[in-house]
Amino acid sequence: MTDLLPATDILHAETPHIETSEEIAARLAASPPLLVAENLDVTYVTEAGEVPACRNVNLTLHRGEILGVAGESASGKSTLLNALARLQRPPAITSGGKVTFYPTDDSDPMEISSMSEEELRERRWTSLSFVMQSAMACLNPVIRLESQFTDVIREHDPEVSKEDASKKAGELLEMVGIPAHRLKAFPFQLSGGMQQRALIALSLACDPDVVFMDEPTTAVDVIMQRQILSQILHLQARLGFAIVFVTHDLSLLLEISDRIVIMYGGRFVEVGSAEQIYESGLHPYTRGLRSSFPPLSEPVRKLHGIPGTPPDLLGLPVGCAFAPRCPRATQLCLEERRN
Amino acid sequence: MTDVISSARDTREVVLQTKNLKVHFDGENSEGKKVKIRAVDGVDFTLHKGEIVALVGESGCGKTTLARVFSLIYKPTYGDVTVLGQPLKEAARNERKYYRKVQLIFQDPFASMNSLKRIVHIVGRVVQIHKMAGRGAAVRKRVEELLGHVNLVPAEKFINQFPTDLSGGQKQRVAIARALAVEPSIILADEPTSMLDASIRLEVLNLLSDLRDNDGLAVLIITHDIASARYLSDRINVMYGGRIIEEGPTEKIVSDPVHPYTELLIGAAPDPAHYKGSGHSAVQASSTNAPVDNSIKMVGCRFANRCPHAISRCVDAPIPEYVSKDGDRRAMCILAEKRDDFINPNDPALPGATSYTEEQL
Repeated sequence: MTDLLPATDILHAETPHIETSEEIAARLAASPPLLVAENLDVTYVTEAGEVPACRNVNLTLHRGEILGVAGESASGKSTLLNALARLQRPPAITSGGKVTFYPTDDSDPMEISSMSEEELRERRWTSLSFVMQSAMACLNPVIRLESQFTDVIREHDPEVSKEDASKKAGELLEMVGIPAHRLKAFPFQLSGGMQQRALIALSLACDPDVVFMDEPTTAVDVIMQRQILSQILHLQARLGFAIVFVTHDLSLLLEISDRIVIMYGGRFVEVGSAEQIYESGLHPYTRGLRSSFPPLSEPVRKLHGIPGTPPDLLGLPVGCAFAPRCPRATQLCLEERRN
Repeated sequence: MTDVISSARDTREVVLQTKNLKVHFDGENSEGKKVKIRAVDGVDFTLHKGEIVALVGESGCGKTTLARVFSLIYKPTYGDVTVLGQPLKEAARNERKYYRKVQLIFQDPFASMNSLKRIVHIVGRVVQIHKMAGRGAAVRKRVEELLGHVNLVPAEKFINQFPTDLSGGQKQRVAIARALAVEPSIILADEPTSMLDASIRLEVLNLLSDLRDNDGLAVLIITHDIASARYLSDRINVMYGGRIIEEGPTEKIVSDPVHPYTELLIGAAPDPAHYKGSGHSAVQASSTNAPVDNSIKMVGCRFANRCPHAISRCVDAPIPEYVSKDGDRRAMCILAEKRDDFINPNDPALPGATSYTEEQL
């Protein structure tokens, strides 16, 4: 992380190369796995019963891949993200399956689900890093940004002096377009967009291999959203980390993701490239979600979204969870679930 | 401005109009010095019967402040506001009567309803207070009608439920039913779908559109989502730094914007057709991210410091309001001079030109 560019250079840096769908597929095929989830189940143990928040999740995240996860509220997308990073707290438990992490230094793969707290702690920020939706809730409101940055940097590399850590913190802030002197500010003195960008800068402090982003732009307006996305993509292209990006905004995911996962009722209902999801989504839910976003450049026609409401996870049907809302459901869909 | 050239929509009844409306607040800048914050700074706005007008712009552009003037929360500092042909000052004297004509829908249906009361109470209370029906059974019947009107059917199922039993979209429809209880002429909707899941957003948008078509309702919808605004509205007002910088029929604004800010706003919105691999880049060279500082007095264009086309004229002199030749569009940007379809109605060379000076306080 010695090659940080000042903010102005980032803004004027060349746009990352625009790939075709074939180039994206070829890049992913050539890139080794970084994180592999096998048959992952996450359950919330509640008084009302066991809530199957994620079921049978199989996923391979490649190095440098941008993976989008889309779905409605309560589809299990944030639960999945927390489980991949093993950040979930009771009542959520990983009730089945495993997550394996393949370090980029080609040391032995490690199973996240069975790592000790201490091993996990070493890997947080340096390998696995997180950007949450509500920046204000993540940053400590009564501690200056500087201490929050230097804490993270020195925790993971105690040999870094205070001065060097401060300098690096300033560089990180500038990287996301915030002047370094704002390190002296308290989080509440920054605008919502700046807080969110400060959090992104913080997530990159220890040069992670993967950054989990949970709705990082939902709380800001479209212009700030575009600025934040552009910065994320610039940094990603330069530093090469992988991103798992969770949001309900499928149109945004289509623009940035190498691959997209569509979740419904705690399960993956479809996985595909942005082009596949846009042009030829197979699952009726994917198609419904895809046509829930009014277009900007295509002609306007009457859209209907998806009638009905998301399923109650405590009373999931035997068959396909989407069947009660599905325009093409048959008797078979109600009786059996297909994978 | 529209005095010079009349437009077809002028024949419809105007329900809401402002002329050079200003709302200023006293505030402090970062050094603790007292400053005047020009949240709304000279807005001409018109809403007709049976029309959905969208107000779009980024956070802090003044769009909510404008709506709050119409909802009697803020008082105008300067300028005229007319509501259903009556000056706002007169109309606001009797608040209950005023809210019978103008109703609000808020962003967060979770916060705008008492979660300890049943739907029949939440909607019925409005019916009672505004004496829209008799008592007891009549109120209940009216609530059922209203729920039916917003497609919450069967109404008997929903009427005894609590807000927590409903999904976000259903709750927002209850909020709309409650607004409709007084049979208003105008609905002000502040980001009514931004808290909702994408799949149920459309049901709320389609409902508002049906209410316009079937009941002749006038709707002001505030949003930063230009795709929703395009889907729903007849006209778009783009607001920046307390001013409406471009206004006109939705399709023309979206497909052929005049003001660089409008262009920026449209370009920033995610477009599913620009999926990765389609040859479009999600990365956009954004202009500096300096937020608008409305406390600085400014003669020219507030967007000039972010604008790629800005020249000295943009900051040195007031920007005239250019009008399209068909009278249907307005834009406050000198780029309109380069277009054949726009004229400057204040150009002294033009017959019947009105002299317009920026009114000072």
